Amino acid sequence: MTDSDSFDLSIPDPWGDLPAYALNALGDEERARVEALLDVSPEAREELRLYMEMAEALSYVADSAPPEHVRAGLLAQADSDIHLMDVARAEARSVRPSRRSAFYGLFRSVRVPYVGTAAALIAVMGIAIFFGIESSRLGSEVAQLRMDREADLAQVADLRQVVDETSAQSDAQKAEVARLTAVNAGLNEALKNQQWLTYVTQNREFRVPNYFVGGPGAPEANGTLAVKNFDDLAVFLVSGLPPAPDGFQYGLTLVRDGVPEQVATFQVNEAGMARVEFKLPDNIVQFESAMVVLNSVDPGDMSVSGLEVMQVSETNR
Amino acid sequence: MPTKYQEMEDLDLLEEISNRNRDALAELYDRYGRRVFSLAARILNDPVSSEEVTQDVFLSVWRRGSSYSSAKGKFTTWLFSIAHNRTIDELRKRRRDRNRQNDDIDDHLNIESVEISPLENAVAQSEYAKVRDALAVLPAEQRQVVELSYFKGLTQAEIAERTGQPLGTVKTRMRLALRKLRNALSSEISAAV
Repeated sequence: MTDSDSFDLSIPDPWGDLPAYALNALGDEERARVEALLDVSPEAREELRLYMEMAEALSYVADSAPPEHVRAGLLAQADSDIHLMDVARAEARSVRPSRRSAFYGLFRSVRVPYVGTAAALIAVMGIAIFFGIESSRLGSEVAQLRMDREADLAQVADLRQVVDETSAQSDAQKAEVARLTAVNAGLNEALKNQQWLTYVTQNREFRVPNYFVGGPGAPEANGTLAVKNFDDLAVFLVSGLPPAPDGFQYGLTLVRDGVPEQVATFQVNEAGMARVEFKLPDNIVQFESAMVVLNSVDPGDMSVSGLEVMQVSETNR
Repeated sequence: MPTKYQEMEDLDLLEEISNRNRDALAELYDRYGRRVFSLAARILNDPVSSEEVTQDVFLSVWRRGSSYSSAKGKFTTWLFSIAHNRTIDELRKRRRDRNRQNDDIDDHLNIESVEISPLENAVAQSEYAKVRDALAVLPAEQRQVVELSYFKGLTQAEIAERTGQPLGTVKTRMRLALRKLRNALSSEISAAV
């Protein structure tokens, strides 16, 4: 075929656009059409693979060495990421809930205050009896009574200590009750989200292009991205993520041609969950991958941004 | 004596990188950092921006290497796709900022002006020469569309407008150029796969 065979194309021609796709020479609409073709056509993917290899070969057209500080800067960034991951792990450990059951807290909350109250009552009664007896005794019994009184005062001191300890334990129990309340709220939210997820997976209005799993920094995390058909509404549901360290937030990032674009940011609640609704950007109708990254809240701080904490599950790559 | 990372295949390095192994990242950079930087420098003609792009490309691999799948093709094809996309994004951003799209574009692939420094690796030297030779024998109009798209960041519609050729002609020239390059480099490609 020569140039004379060519003609102006007024209708979409995604097959004919494959060479330009490999050379990164398409507009957004043309790219979307080619990517839609690639989704359904193994033949198109194979033809594109050949063109992409040629595009890669073009990188050999020049040769110059980068300065050494590029390598050093890259490795410094990597070290910074590793440090950040360590901080995130430490944060995760510090917020991990106790493994004690709810029954333990309930038992403690009932038992300990009654023990304290009963002990205090006994102490008061003992003191009253002591003073009543002392006023009615004479002579040689006084010394014995004084000894008894000292013993009783020591007992009162012990009982006061018990009351003080009980008070401290009560504060701890209040904190435990607050934590259990938060967990309960989280479980309620999880139940609602689970119901929503069931609705999505059984409803043809939605498709679920990606399931997510946690990386080394969040091994218990998992998530689901659902996109509404014939609309640009997307919902991301995640659980098991540790709260982001101070000054950081999570970002949902979609990847097209290896180039990431952040589409939503979020924080998780105390139970490690979040539900994020957002509009899918026009230029990301098709995307090849997705991930959750840990970003600095400060957009000017690029030194530790973009650390990947969740990625698409192998099962739906 | 080579380190254990120097003896690893690219995909094994990538797996190490996904486990946050910075030594594996260093080795991957040592293998491909020069090519990525050269590509960026060739397109951007700006050492500082090229350094930033090079660092960004490898940081992407470091942070998002798990997004690579062998179903997407060779690892190096994927890597240089990221490098080219990132570089062209930078070029187009600068072009928008400067609002002088037509002022800094040379339509002709200036192969003769490309500085080829001595390479440590003779095989790599041979690959550079093969690609340059293959480009040099392309018909001028096909070489032009490759230059304007791959190295100047123009879309095919922009090339059609700039050259005054129908869009279909531009598409045809792109396809023919890539196929001729493939034929010329077929032995190298098959050896590399």
